[in-house]
Amino acid sequence: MNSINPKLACDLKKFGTFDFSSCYNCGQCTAVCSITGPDASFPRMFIRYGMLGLTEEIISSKDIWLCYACGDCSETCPRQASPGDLMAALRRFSMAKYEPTGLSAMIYKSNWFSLVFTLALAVFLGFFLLTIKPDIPVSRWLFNFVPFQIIHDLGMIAFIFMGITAFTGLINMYRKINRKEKIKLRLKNTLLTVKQVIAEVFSMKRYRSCDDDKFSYWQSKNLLVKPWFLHFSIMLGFLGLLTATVLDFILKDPALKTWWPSRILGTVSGLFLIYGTIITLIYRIGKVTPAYSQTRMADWLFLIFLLLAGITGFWLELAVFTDAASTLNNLVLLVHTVLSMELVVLFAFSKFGHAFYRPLALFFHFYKNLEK
Amino acid sequence: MKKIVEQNQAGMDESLIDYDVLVIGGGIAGDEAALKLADVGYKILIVEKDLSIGGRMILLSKVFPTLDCSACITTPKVSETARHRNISIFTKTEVKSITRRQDNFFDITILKRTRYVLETLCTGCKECEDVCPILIPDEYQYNQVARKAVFIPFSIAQPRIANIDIDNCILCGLCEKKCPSDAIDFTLVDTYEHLVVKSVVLATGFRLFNPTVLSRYGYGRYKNVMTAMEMERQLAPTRPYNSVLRPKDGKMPDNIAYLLCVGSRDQTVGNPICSQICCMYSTKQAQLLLGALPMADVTVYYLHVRAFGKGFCEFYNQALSMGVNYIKAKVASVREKENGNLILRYEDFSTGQVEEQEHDLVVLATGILANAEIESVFKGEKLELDPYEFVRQKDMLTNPAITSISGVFAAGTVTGPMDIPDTILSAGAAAAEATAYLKKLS
Repeated sequence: MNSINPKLACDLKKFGTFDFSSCYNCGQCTAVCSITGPDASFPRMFIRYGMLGLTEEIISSKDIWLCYACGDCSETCPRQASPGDLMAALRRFSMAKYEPTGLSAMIYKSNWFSLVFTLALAVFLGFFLLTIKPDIPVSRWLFNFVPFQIIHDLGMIAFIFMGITAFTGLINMYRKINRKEKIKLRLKNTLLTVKQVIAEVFSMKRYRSCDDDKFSYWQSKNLLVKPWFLHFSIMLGFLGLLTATVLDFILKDPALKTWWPSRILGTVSGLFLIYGTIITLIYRIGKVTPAYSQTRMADWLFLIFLLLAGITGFWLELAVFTDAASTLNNLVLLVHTVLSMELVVLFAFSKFGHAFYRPLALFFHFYKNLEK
Repeated sequence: MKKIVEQNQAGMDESLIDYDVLVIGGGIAGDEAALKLADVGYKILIVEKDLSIGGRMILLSKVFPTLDCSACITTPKVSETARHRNISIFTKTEVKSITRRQDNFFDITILKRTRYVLETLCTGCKECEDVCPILIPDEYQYNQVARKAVFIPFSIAQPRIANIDIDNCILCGLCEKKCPSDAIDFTLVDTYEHLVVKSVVLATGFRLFNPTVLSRYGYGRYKNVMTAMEMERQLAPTRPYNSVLRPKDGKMPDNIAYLLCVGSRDQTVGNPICSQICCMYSTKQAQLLLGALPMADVTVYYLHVRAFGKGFCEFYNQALSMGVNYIKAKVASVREKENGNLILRYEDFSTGQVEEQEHDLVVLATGILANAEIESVFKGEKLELDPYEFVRQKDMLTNPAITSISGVFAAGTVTGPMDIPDTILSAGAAAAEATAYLKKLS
């Protein structure tokens, strides 16, 4: 059962700015959105939920994940109440609710906490990495204070813990949404829907429709600078680098030759990643549209980490051809690995979490449409 | 009595005075204020930028909530103003500067733009119009029909004197030859004049919101999207066509939509306040349309119906009982179909779902914006404006006509959006304040 909770509005504010008192409930935001329709209605509904404090309605909704934050609603809102920011805040709020440890909530609510926590984790991961090379002087100095085994085990526990929480978050989301949508999984439909979701993830059809909307700021802009393309290049870049790294790891062969397939894949993906993150960062710094004007520390950290991981990756690629063993190169390697590990470890707690929450919401959306 | 005269001779020289009160703007507010002041016995000058006095009201069809003919109420007032022995009217004239003198009077500079027609000779016979070969969109019919380059603005214009639109005139001289009273003279020029007045009443009115700014509604792009003022003309007794026709193909519309709050209560266009008249004039037009087109459906998309004045709520209920369909929704966008019909997209509040509805004519109930041009006319003193650029009322509750400048009073919509009854009241208040000021001055 839903119960009214007037404090929710204050709580939601900590996840992103939105002034509930400025909304006069006209529904323009919903009607101006190019992806709302009979099967999904937002953001006005969610402003009402937020006002009334219907937490269950919010976290059991797939709809907030169907929004790609194009910002049309915020741009045209006659009260300038920024409904788009509310949608982003609700996604953060839901992620914090799905994830059982409460860490996400703290990361999203407090910019300082997310910064300090991320840096502390970086130091810890740095130490953890040293356990792989216990013979170098820094390691020996460290292990005088804390036994090697403890750091190593703690690190492994942290990885497992993070993995379990991420998985629990996903299960929680599934259960919450299914309480509202009530889908019965059938193999044929599930496979069809999974196919649809994958097609959507790799074609970005819905996201594209936001940017190509007739009233969108981006409609007349070049493809290469449209938000969906930037998102696409970051995503492809990341996936490509992940594949390349795994391939390298499996083959146990640091592919020295430039024409090696996994190397080419890595290089191309890295370029995509760096391009996407740089342009996105420029948009966020310049606040080109309302959608880019509200950036939380978690968003900054995520983008900067991706960018730095990409840049250090290229450094290392060049370093392989030069003096691979120099101290500077080793340091860059350490930084690169720490950044990559943070991205993976904080997967469920950072902005990165949308990478599995959104497809799951899309799964519900498509499945529901299929059932009809 | 003698004492007062002596005082006057000491401080102020009455012989300098051209007029007691300068009324800027000859709309219904200016006319009303001028009439009241002239009845008291003061000499009044009305300066009107346009070709005719009567302002917006003389162009309207009917007034709410009584459905009286607007022109039929305005015309007697306007001709009374024109015939009053204490009132002079300069049309096609602008006030260029107002400066306070040391003796507390005002120095006024006005620019009289020429009509290229000798006002004393023109009889308003329209013979010139017949021979003029030029056709231009008629701004007094909101560009729905054409007029000539030499023209009388509209049939009930006051004064009924021809004017030459020199920007569009080809100087063919046909009208000059045709004119039976030799009133046309192309050698006339604009002239500046200096006057001294004791007091000023501002009645410069409002601007209408230009809906091309809201490109989502397609005004200017889709021909069947029109403004309420254009519809007002189609419904007026002096209407351009003898029926209500949609602009694109001249078809009689039978499913008309009204969109309220276009340019009002909308921060994206910089106007967060309510225009106060759109709900009611849309309700009025809806009722008139049901009379003009008995088979038509009229739908009003509203945010909140603000029927706050005397008889307004009853008027709204009357529209409901006549079958006008009110839907609570803010239309987000308008799309045109090939046949010229329009599809509105909005969120239906009863279901919370996005809906699309087809109409064959869309009327935008455009709001009122401030007309802040007058601010720059004051030299040496600052005319204070409110945050929405209307003239700031120093004491809105107790002395609504008093502005930040002593001796300058405000009448009608120059202080904020208001309907006709309120405008008349406001003009009366300005006249009363000006009278009190003039009494104290002498």
